[in-house]
Amino acid sequence: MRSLQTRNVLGLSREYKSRKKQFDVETPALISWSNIEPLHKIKGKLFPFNQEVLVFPQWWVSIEKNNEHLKNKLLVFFPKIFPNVPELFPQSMKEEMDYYIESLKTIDAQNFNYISYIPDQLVATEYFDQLIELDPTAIFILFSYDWKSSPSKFVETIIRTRLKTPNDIALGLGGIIPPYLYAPLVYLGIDIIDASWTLWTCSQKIAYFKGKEVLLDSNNLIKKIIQEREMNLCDWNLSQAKEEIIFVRELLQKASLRDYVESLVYMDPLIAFILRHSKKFQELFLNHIPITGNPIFCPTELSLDRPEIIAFHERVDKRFIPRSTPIVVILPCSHKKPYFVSQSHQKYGKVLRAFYKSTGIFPEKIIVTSPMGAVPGDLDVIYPVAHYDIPVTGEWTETEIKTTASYLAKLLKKYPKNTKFVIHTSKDYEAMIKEGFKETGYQPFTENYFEKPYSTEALNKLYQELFSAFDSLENIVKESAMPNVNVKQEYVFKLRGMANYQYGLGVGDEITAQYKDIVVRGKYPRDVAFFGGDEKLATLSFSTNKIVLSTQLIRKIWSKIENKVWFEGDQIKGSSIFIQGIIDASPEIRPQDEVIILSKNNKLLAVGTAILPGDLMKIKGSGVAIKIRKKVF
Amino acid sequence: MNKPAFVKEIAKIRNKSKSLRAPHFRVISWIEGSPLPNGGRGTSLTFILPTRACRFAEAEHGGCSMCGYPNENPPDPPLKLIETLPEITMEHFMKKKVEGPMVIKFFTSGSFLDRLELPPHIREKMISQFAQLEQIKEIIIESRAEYVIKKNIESLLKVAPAEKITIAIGLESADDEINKRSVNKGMTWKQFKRAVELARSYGIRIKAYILLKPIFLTEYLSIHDAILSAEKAIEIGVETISINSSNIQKGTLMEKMFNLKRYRSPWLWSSLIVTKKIKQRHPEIRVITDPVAAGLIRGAHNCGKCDKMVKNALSEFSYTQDLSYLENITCDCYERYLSFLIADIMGSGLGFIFEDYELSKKNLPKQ
Repeated sequence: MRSLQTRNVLGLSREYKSRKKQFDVETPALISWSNIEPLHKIKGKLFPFNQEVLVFPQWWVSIEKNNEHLKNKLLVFFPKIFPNVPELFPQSMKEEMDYYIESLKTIDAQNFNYISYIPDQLVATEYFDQLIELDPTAIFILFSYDWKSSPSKFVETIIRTRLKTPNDIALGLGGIIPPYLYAPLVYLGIDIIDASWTLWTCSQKIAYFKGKEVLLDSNNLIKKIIQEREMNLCDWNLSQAKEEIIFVRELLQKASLRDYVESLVYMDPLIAFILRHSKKFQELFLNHIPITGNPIFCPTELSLDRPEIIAFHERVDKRFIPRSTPIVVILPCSHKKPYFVSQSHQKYGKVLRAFYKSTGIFPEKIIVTSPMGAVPGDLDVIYPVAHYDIPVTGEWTETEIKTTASYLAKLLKKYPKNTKFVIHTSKDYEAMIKEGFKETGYQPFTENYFEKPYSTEALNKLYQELFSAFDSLENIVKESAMPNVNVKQEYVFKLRGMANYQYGLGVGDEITAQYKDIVVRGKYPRDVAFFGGDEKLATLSFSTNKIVLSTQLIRKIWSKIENKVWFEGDQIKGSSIFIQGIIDASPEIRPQDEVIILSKNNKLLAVGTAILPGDLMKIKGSGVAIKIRKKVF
Repeated sequence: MNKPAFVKEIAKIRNKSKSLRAPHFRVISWIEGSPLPNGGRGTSLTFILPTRACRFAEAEHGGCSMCGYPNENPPDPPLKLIETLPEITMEHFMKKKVEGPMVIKFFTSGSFLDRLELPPHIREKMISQFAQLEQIKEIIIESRAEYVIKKNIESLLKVAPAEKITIAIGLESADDEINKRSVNKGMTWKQFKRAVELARSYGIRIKAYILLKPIFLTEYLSIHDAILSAEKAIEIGVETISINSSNIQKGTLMEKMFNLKRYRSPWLWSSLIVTKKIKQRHPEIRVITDPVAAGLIRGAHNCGKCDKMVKNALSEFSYTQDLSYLENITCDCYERYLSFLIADIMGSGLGFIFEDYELSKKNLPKQ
């Protein structure tokens, strides 16, 4: 019986919650053999696993009988015979899997909340699909080898399994799992972790303390702490494990699990390996990264590979087109985010506005930074551009230079070759920018690298350079530029850029084409509203870092929107759309994306916010996929 | 009937081991304490007879996955030797000079009732010479269930009263699936039941061997299976249950898996739990647990510190059938054992990973 539903998706990790009141489970969770319930429910009991349980364990009880009391428990159906030795018996494993699946059918497993098993060598086969059809609550992957000895195989197996698991079935893993591996495993997509290893270590006189394994000898200080709290070692280790998993759950809700995993790389080389190796498969789950989130901290080079950043650039690649101003300024990043509220960028903004008032050209900005690479100035409110933090020392590593340069080159190529690039940054960025231009073969119009690019002299220089760029333009271009009196013009650029980014290429351009005089009301840090005449067009929220188009506007331009979901019926009832009702969804949809819901006949039904990524909406599952924002009649 | 795929592996190993066999031609015997059928205590004299190897193990498929006894049986013992067996066994008996009630056990590492191993007239002679003695209270012979037939039983009853005879049959598990897909026992529960019912109808007692932890089973499941098998066997009238903990014998599939670190012999704790549970539920049943190679890595073992203690407790219990010997046995490793049971199910299902870890921990500085 599938009783879970996805509440939150973050990359490969999912946060599940039970749909049923009686069966109260939340993941990520630990499991203990005793009652097969989440650990937090077992209060102070050490080994509830006793000999009575041994004789009549729940999973052995003949299920055909009327066992109502088992309905709200989580049962474990373990295969009776398990020749998990692929090197000796490749065929036997399959035979036993046939028997196993057959036996699950005969005991009518679908009527129970249960854990089923699959050996790692069969996850890529049709056995996995057969198992899914039997509706297990969770699937445990049993590795036939010590997965720490061949982590690459392990990481690949888990990721590939995760990606084809429906959104209401949890994945579990057992084995040697010390608490500090909980976060990396949850990051890889494991939902349920077997806690018995912590008990095993306590019998070896090993205590867990702040994630580290400590061997207790007679005068150990940690031993004293444990004694002071009047706990025994097993209680202690279990409580450490519980704390860890609760913390991981918290991080998952806050969408900052990756930060924590990165901070653990010194615990075990395996964690660094998991991060590096999972990068290879990153493009498979980029659309599982939510489009909003919490601040991310990027202290090491590992952060360059963060999926949030890669997902951002992937979408920029697909959905960003320049405003095609003939002049483009390349600026450095600022510590304060979003950039445009920082002191330095306010100064640059003054210069740009002054230039705009006299020439009618508002140069586009490109902001160079690490690890984000190069960011179009109009997209500086978007997650994670407005959310990252790095320790700026001015010394960049080779890899950072290379990565940033390649992002810059990619972005530059979107501009026509004759664009006048005015470079105005601090000296630190010189290497990256030169490298980036070298890659494209473009020539910057002027290059100025300053100690303090926001100093008065530097700003004067920028003003001069802008005018010299203007002077070099052909007359036709100059004449076509018309100054617009709107002082909040920059917000309109953001509206255009972000609408393109969030809703699909061309949406923003369509809006600015239809509404020439957009009125902007409000100012950072409050929400900014856009009006076209009397009509409200959109709201830009700095708390969700999203732009939300109004329903009236969507009605007019919905055909341009790329985030489409096709719904079975002709009418929507209630405030959410369940996965069962979805016929198709565009694969580009990411969690928290604004989507439009269409009927089979392409009639606009509603607008909403996606909970699941587009590809998961298409795998057969259950639970809420979209929260409806407004129905359109 | 289709054999499971892993049976091919057994056949391969059995063929390979044929060239390495070191058979003996001697009769081996020893004395130990043993419970009597009427509840008293006595002494048992065990004979290992050098008959030819078990016919089932010599078959094309290679026999049971855990059995390495055929390697010690002579492939073709001289008839002369077989014919002198009654005299030799009597000689051994006279030499031991044991007083008081006694149990005689004839073990052939095959089937005592198989006429290819022991011709009927030899086995009758052997039984009758001991059955005549007042001192002998019980004669235990081992056989596969298929040889427990009317003809064989009647030939036994010609020379001995039914109450003096116990036939020990290797049940291994009452679960046909385990017997077929893990042990390759070649016997079903139905066949076993037939043999038991037939023997019981003549008043002959049956002892059932139950295998604790066959290959491919987790420790947890094997405990459970052993207890269930015993329950089922007792229900149809088996009078003695012998818990045989797996031990890794040479030239077996089990050994191959052990060498690949894919099999761990059971913990002594498991034997203890199973024994205790069966005896508690059925006080009238004799429960014998004498793990072979206990405490060694190839036999049932715990942490190393408590092995001897648990083993002694088990053999004391087997002798006296007094459950108090099994009470209050504790060791640091009991907790580890419990967590092992859990972790094994959630982990690989094979237990080897944890063993490895345990060994590597020994390199840590001693406390």
